[in-house]
Amino acid sequence: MTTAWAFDPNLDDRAAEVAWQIRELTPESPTSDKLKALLNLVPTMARMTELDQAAAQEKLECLGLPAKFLTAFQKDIQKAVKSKAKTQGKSNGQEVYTALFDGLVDLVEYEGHPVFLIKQDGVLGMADQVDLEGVIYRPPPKEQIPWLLPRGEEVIKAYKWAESPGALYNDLLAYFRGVSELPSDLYYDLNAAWTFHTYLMEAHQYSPILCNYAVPERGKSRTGKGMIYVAYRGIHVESLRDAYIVRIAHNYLATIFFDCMNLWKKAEKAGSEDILLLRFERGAKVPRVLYPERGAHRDTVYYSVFGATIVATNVSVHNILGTRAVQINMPQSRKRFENDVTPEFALPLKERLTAFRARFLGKSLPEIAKPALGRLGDILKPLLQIIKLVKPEQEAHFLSLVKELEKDRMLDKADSLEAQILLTLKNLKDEVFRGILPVKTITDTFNEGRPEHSHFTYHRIGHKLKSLGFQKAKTDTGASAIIWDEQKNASNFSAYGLVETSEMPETSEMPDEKPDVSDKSDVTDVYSDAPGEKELHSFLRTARPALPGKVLHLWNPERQRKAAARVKETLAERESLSGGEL
Amino acid sequence: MANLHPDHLADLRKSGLTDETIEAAGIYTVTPGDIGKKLGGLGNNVVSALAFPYPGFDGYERFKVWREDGKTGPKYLQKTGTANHLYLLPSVDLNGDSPLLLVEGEKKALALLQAAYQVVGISGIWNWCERGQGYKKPKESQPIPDLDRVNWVRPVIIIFDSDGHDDRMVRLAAFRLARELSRRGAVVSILFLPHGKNGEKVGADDFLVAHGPAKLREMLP
Repeated sequence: MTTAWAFDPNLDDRAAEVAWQIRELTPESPTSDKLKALLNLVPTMARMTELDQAAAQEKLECLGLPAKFLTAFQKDIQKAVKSKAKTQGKSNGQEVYTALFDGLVDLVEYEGHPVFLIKQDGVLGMADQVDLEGVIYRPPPKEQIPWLLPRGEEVIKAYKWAESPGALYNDLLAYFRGVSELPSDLYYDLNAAWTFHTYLMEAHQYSPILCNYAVPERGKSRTGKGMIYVAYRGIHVESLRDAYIVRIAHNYLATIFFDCMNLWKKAEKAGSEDILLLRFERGAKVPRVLYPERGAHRDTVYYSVFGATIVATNVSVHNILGTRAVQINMPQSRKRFENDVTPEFALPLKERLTAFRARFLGKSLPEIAKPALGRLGDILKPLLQIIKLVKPEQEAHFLSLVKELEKDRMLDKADSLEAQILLTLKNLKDEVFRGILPVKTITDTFNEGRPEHSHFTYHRIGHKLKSLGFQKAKTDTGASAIIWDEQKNASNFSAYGLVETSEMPETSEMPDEKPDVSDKSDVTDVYSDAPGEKELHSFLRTARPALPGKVLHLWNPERQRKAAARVKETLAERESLSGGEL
Repeated sequence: MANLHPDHLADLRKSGLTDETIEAAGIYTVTPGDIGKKLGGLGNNVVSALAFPYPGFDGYERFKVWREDGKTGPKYLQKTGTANHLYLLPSVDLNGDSPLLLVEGEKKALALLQAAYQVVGISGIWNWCERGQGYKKPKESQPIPDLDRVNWVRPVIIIFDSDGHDDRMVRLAAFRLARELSRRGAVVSILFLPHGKNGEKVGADDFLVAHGPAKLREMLP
């Protein structure tokens, strides 16, 4: 009769399974019952380590089964082990490698070989293999690991030493100062916080892409190398071969330094732009159709590509990538850097950082609010959390960098097409009839003065307006329009830095004429790419007080030219009338 | 029984539940218009739902669902985004030290309670874990906080359906649960009920209907 079975809490899952299978068996039980139990146990035994298997077999031997059955049982287990390895895509006889599993601090070197550095119950130790769900995994071979491994013994020494993270932070700052010159002191903090964050990637939802941007010979690569040599599993790549990037991201959770000219073009050519775009966010996966012959739903493999990234580029990065990145505009350095930046030079710091990872792995980071709005806040939050964890006294310093970056972004935004459309809207308030404004009016005004080949279609402007959140409507004649919403406008203008501030002293007021109030918005200026625009623009700034009460659409190059010509004429006229005393 | 559809009432009675038990448990039929709302968007092909309110959990409910012909899916659902809870019945002495049965499923828990056992229900074999997938990753197998509401320093018998004899994952769930309860001071036994005469799966409610409480008592320590 079935009865409740007393559970022994000291048994692990597999030992419990063995105990349960043989719970009612005695040496006197029928052989058929014993064989049935053995058969049930094959999958469990196949998942056991050799040591556990031996312990379980000892128990089974007590059942008094003939040796031939035990030998057959042993063979069945071996068969199951092999077939399991096969179903996992590992060919017979080959080692099963891994570089990622829960509790792994890092791969480190011990006696010339890579080993796992594992933290268990607060104790840090090295192991050359681990048993995960019954499969024995080993670290990848040394020649397959494209970064200099920290020395295990040194990491353990640093871990026992338990230095304050603040001291390590200071040493990192000193290291970065010795590697390259950055735009300001704030950026050394940025680099130090960023380096720390690579060691706790499991705790972050986002990772800011660092983008070293400058013309050649400004130290972009040197800075990037200096960072990648101290970063967690840092790999320096000069090509964007899709398969390789996907694998190092997926298999190693590596920090990658992309060091190539015209990065975005190369990424597009290699088909790896999705990797660049998605690396900043945890959980993002890139699909690759690797097995078309297997048919639908079996042909695609999804790779996790989340990881810390540095980019060095002499061409401005793609807009969307830009929103996920913190750009460092490398200055012309006046310092001479005599030391070579090598992995060996950075190794002691890397070992201390690995010990830092061991200490904080699995612990929660300080709970904080995002330091900025939008995506900038998302990507900078991990860095601020790191600052609060390792060097809280630098928080204010770091927040001033955040403000600087926020300001830069706002300026960039004000240069965008969306900002230009919003500027047009600002001037069309008087055209609003019954609360709606036709898209045609907006488009025509927007296109005014633009060469015909660069005119925007109603359709495109309509789409942009929709993406800006304007609600669609129809005019009496059935034409497309938007609903004029002061509140929405105000928030859009503010988001794109188009609010009028006291820092914009230029107005279109004339000393002898009453200004048109609605013209005030026109003073916000947007540079166009046309040659000579900057000069024209600066001319208008200085000459504007002399303009006779006209509306300046400064985002419109053609109108700018015309306006400028009018200004010149007016100035010349006045000069001649006043006898050159103006 | 006015708030129960006849088919639902028949289903509850098939499990041996008396009208008193059903009424005391507050079980009711969800009106068709409320199915989507109650299930939080999981009700696509659900044609009817029977609600089991969880006392003491602020309106939390689990639902036995019936689906359109030919459509398959889990038999029991809870609103999307809600946490797992224990089915703690008011008449059970949670703080006492008498033997406590732990069973998977609300109907089974009610059937055992009716047979005068002290019983706690879990809504799935892994639903004593926060993510309900305790076998996958240790991080997801954190025990739910509700376990703290019960004094476990007592004999505890985990009673799972008869498929535990054949399914290694059911046994794994039982072993892990047993280990967790042992950690909390329980002396745990595990009982996988015997299969039915024709090899069909048997739960505690079916067993009680077929054999009565005395037979079950013989199987317990």
